[in-house]
Amino acid sequence: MMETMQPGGLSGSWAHSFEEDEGDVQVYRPRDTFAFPPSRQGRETLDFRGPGQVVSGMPGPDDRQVHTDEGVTALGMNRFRLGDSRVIEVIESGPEVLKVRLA
Amino acid sequence: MPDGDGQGDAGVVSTSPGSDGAIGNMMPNDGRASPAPEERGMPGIAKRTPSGDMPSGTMETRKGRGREHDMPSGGMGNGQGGLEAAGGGGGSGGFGANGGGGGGGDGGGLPQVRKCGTMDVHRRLLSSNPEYARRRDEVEIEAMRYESGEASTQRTGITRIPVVVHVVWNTPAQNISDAQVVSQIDVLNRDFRRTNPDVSSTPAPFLPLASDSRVEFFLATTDPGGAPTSGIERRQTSVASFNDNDAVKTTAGGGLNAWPAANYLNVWVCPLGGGLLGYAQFPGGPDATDGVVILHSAFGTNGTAAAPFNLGRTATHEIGHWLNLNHIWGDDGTGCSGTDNVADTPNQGGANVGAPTFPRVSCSNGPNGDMFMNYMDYVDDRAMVMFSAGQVARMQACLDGVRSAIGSSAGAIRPSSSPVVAWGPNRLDTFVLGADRALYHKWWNGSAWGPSVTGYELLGGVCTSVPQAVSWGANRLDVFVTGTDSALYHKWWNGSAWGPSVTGYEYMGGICVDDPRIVSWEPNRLDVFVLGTNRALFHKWWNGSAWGPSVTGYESLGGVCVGQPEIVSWGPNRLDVFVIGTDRALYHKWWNGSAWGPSVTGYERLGGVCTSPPKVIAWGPNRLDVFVTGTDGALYHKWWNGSAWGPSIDGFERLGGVCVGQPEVVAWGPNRLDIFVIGTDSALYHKWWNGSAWGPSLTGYERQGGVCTSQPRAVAWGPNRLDVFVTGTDSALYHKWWNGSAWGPSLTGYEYMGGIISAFRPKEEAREETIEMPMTLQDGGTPSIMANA
Repeated sequence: MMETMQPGGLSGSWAHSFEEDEGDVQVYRPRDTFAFPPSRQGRETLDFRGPGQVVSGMPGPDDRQVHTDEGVTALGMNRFRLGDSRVIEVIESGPEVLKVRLA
Repeated sequence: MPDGDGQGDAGVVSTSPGSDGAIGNMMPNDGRASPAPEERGMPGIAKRTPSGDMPSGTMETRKGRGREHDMPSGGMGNGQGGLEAAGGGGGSGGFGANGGGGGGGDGGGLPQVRKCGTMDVHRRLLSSNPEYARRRDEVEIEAMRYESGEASTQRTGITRIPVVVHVVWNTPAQNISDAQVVSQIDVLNRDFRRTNPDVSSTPAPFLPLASDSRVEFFLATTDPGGAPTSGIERRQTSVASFNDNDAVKTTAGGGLNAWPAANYLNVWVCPLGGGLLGYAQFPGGPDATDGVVILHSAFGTNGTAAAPFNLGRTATHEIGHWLNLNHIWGDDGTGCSGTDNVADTPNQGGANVGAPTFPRVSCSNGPNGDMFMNYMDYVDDRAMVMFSAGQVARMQACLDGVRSAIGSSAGAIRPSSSPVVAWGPNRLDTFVLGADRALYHKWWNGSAWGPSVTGYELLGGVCTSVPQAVSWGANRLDVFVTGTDSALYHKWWNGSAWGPSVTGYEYMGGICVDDPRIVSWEPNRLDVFVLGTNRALFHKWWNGSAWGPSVTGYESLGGVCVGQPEIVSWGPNRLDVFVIGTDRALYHKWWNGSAWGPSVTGYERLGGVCTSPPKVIAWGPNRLDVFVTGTDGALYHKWWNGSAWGPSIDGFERLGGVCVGQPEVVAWGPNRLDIFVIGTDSALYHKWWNGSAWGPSLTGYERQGGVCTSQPRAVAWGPNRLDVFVTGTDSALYHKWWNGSAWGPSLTGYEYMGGIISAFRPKEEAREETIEMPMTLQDGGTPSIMANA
C-alpha cells in the first residue's frame, strides 16, 4: 500500500483497462500510450489536469466519450471525491498503472 | 411519322450565333432590365395585396354552379357531365390564399408537424449547443411519430445510399484493400436488408421483430465535383492513432475531409487508439463531421479484420447511430430508467458484451430478457444479428427527415423536366420567366418559401422557352431554356452555388423550336431533347463527364414533330420518347440501353388525332401511361403494361372533359396517377387513378376553382402529396397542395406566390406556328379517330 496521497498527487490521463480488473479493484492504464485491446464497450477515462481537477470521460450514446469537468477533493486515507458524489480509493498509483476501488 | 429521311440537322448541329460553348456565357441581352437584386421581386410587382390578385368577379360567377357548367361536355359521346362538382361547398374566393371565405383563408404555409413534449433525449448533453439541441429535438419528434405509427415512411422501395470510404493509414498494413472495403459494404447490405444468414439465430420470441430496414449501400460512383470515383479515397498520415476528437475528418487534422453529408455517407477507416472500435455522429450535427469512424481491424470481413470484431458489425452498429438509433439499453449506465426510444425492444439494464446466452434477464424483463442480439447492443460481432421493427421506423423517420436528401429510392419515379421539381421530401423548386423574360426561381425548403412567399431569385437571361428543370440528386438542379437566338442554354445548382454563375448560362448550341425536354435516369446523367427548325427531334446527353455528341452538337432522331416532345425513363439507361406527328397521331421511340427503337430515326405509330402534346408518366419499371386531348377536347389515355399497349396499339381510353391545353400528370407512387387539366372555364380540374379505378369517375373531374392562365404544373415530393402551380389572370403564380387528407389552402383556394409570370406554359404563338407547319411526309396511313376503350 502506498502512503497517503495529496490531491496534487493524482496526475496523468488514464483509461479503464477493465479486462485487468481484480474483483472490485478497477485497473486504469495510460490512456494515450497503453495498447488497449479493441472493445465495443467504451472505456471510462480519468484525465487529471492539475491540482483539484479531473475531466472524466464516459462512453456516450454515439460511442464517443462524454466528458465532464469535476473537482477532486482529497478526503484522506488515499480517498478522493470526484465531483459531487463519486468517491475513489487509490489502491496503487505509478507511471504505468492506476488502481482504484469505488468507495 | 416521317422516318427522318435525310431531314438533316440544318440549324441544329453546332450552329452558334454567339460564342461557342464557353462556360459562363451570358444569354443574349442578359437581364439588363432586371430589378435591383435586393428587391428580389419580379418586375412589375409592387407590394400587391393578396386580395387584389385575382379578379374576384370572375370567380364569384362560378359559385354554386352545377357540375355541368364547368367543363362543358358538349360533343362528348358520354352522357356524364364531365366532372364531379366542387361539392357546392366552394364559396372560396378561388385564387388568393388570403381571400375570404370558404376555408381559403389559411394560405399562410404548409402545416407543421405536431409537437410532442415528451422527448428529452440527450438534452443533458446538448445544453451547451442550443442549435444542435433544437435540431436533435426535431429529429426525435419525427422519430417518435414514425415509431408510434403516427407517420410512415415517405420513401417507396429501397433507399440506396452512396458511401465514400476514407482510408487514412499510418502503417502500410492499415491501408486496407479494396476487397476489405467491399466486404464491409456487403455486410451492410445483408444486415440492413435482413438477409444476413445468422438472423436465423435470433431467439424465437424476438425473431418476428427482426426487420428489413429497406436501406442499401453502395460505393459512390461520382465524386462531389461530378467526376467518376471508386468511392474509396486514401491518405497516409503521420498520426499513429486517432481518437474520437474528429481529427481524422479533416485534412488539417491528418485525415481526409468529409464529402457533402447531404449526398454521401462518410466512412473513415483508420487506426484508433484506446481500443476504440468506432464512433458515430447522430443526425442533426455539423456536416463537416457527419458520418462514422471505424477501426481498420474492425472493418469488413477480410484483410486486417480481427476477431471478435471481424464480421463487419461495427459499421452496422455505427451506421445505426448515424440513422438515429440509440443503444438498446438506453445509455443510462446499468439502470432501468433509460430508453432507446423504441417500444419493441425490452427495457434493459446495461450493455451486454461478448456472446451472451439466451435468455439474459434484467430490469424485470423476463422471461425473454434483453434483446442482446440486437445490433445496437455491445455484444461481439457474431452475437448481433438484428434490427427491430421499431428501430427500422426510427431509421426511416431519419431518412424522411433530417437525412431526406441522401440516397435515392431504387424504384423511384423519375419525373421528366418541368418548371416545378422536387429533389427530396418536402422540397420544391419552381422556375418561371418574369415580364422581362429573365429566369426566376423560388423554393420551398420544408418550412418556408425562399427567398420569400412572393419573392423570386433572379437567375438572369432573356429566355424564349418555358424553363425546364430536372434533378438527378439531392440538392442538384439542372435548368434548361432557349435564348433569343433560339439556342439551348443550361445552368445548374450543385448544392452550394449556381453554375456557371448566378445569372450566367452554359451555351449548348442549336436552334430550337418549342421547349427543351430533359430526363435523368441516374445521378449525373441528363438526356436533353429539342426540336430543330425542321421539326425533327434532336438529342444530346451528359454522361457524367462530358456532353455528347459535343457541347453544342446534337444527335438527329428524325421525324417531323408537332408540338413539344415528351420524354420519360422507367429505368436505368431506358428512354421513351413521345411526339405528335403531322397527322396528329401519337408516335413513340425508345432507347433500350443499346439502341434506338424502332430505329435511330424511326417511330412507332400509336394512333389518335391529338390536339395536345403528349403527357407521359412512368410509375414503375416497364410501365407507361400516356395522356393527350382529342379533337373533342376530351382527355384520352393509353398505357404500356410491360408487354402490350392498352387498350390497343392505336386505341385510347376516353376520360371525358373538355380540356384546354396540355394535361398535367403526376404519380406519387406505384399505380397511382393524378391528372390536372384546365377546363373551358379556366378552372383547374383533377382526376386520379387509385390503382383500381378512376376518381371521381371514369369521365368525371374534381373542380378545384381558379381562373388559370397557364397549364397546371404538378409535382409529388412524397407518397400522397401533391403540389400544383398555375398562373392567374394577374399573371401571378398560385399554389395549392394535397397533404394526404385535404387540399390546401382549400379545395378551390390558392396560395398567392407573387410575380408576373410570362412563361410557365407552352407559348401560344408556338402552338399557332405549329399548326401552320407544312404537313409533309405523312406516314402510317390515314389518321384515325381515337377509339374508346
